[in-house]
Amino acid sequence: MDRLRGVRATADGGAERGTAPPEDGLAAPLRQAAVGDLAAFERVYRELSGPVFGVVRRVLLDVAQAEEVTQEVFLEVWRQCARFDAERGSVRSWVLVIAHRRAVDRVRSEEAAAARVSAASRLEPERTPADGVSEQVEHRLEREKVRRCLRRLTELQRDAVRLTYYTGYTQREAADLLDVPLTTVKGRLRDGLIRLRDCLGVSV
Amino acid sequence: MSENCAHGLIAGYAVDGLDPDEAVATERHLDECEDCRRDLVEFRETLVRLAYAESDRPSEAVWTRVRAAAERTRQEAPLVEAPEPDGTVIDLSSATRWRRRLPWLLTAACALVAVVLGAGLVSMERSMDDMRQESSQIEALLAAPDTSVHEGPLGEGARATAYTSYEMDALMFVVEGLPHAPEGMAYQMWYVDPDDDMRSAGMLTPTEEGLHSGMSKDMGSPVQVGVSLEPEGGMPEPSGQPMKFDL
Repeated sequence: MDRLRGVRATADGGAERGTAPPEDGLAAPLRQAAVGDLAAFERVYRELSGPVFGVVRRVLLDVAQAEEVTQEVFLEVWRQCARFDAERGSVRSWVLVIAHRRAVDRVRSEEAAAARVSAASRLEPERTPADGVSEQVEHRLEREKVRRCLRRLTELQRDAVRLTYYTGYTQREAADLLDVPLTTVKGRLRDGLIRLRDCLGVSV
Repeated sequence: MSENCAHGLIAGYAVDGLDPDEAVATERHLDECEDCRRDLVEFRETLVRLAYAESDRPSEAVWTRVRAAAERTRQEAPLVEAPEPDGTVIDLSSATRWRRRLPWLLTAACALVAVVLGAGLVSMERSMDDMRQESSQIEALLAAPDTSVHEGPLGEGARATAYTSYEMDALMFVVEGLPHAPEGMAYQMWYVDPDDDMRSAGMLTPTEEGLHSGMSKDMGSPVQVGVSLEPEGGMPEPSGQPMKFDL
């Protein structure tokens, strides 16, 4: 994040306050999509296809498969629009749960686990999204903030989050891989998510 | 499974990191544990942020396929009656569209400064004072309650993003894809008023990332922003017909 160096001081001075609102404004278009409104559905797609594709690709480490899963995710969203329950979280959270589950299901069913492990051990690739400026702004801000918060975790907390959420291992597999007891991974994952939640200022 | 045990599985459930039997037990537990449901919602919102940090645009073919599949896919019956469209729906077919306000207000300014000014702070020979002033103007603009973001094409091949606030009476304009101005020349911005009058809105400055950006006060109520190639110091009036961007 060299580009941010010039404003790092300002950004840090602001701590992590000023967070994204839990209301994502997608409940209304989703309700319209539920009765077959494709234009409303496209709005949901435009807003969420970036994070869906991004996180699925992060898990699968393969663009073609990630696009395939992204497609499946949105088709499921289309089918299930009417089943969305605002009591249980935001639209984007609902969609991203579907996305992560599908990605994880796919890797767990894949034979190519070994290849994935070696790919996962590589450093995170730098990516420049082909987005408009306002998307770039939002994206860069969010990415930087998340990175800063991830850096504030202990190593084991970070590993627990990385291996489960980003890589798609079960807690048990993560414990094996890290060679620590399962209860340790459970505890560190929970601590890690709580710390991330507080650092990112998530409140519901 | 004991309550405490399932309780400790919420984080694992949120990241889809449980074995199938644990997942079933956790779902059962969630039905009767309000605190756990709240934890889960919060963990999931946290993971939403992690996903947004990975955000990247899939190829347009994905939407084409999704749309085609949706058209022939039956939806589950709605559980609630859908309300009338409430007028806030954005028409995606128009070339430009108003986007929601940037959600992160002040901190967004830092990222915008980063995008706009890029790494070329020193090479652009801006003094730190100028920087600070510019960044505080951007902050103020983004923090204004009525700030809107407008995106769309500018001329042939360029895309512009305009951040406008009537309250601040200010415009922040960022253009991608403009060719480098020839030696001694620069891009000048114009406010185009409803009567087609054009007022100078200052010069666009190139950034190292290949963007051009400019911040301008005294916006008034223009209907368009014009951009034209002028001698470096700027002109009182555009010397040719500027490229126009609708606000």
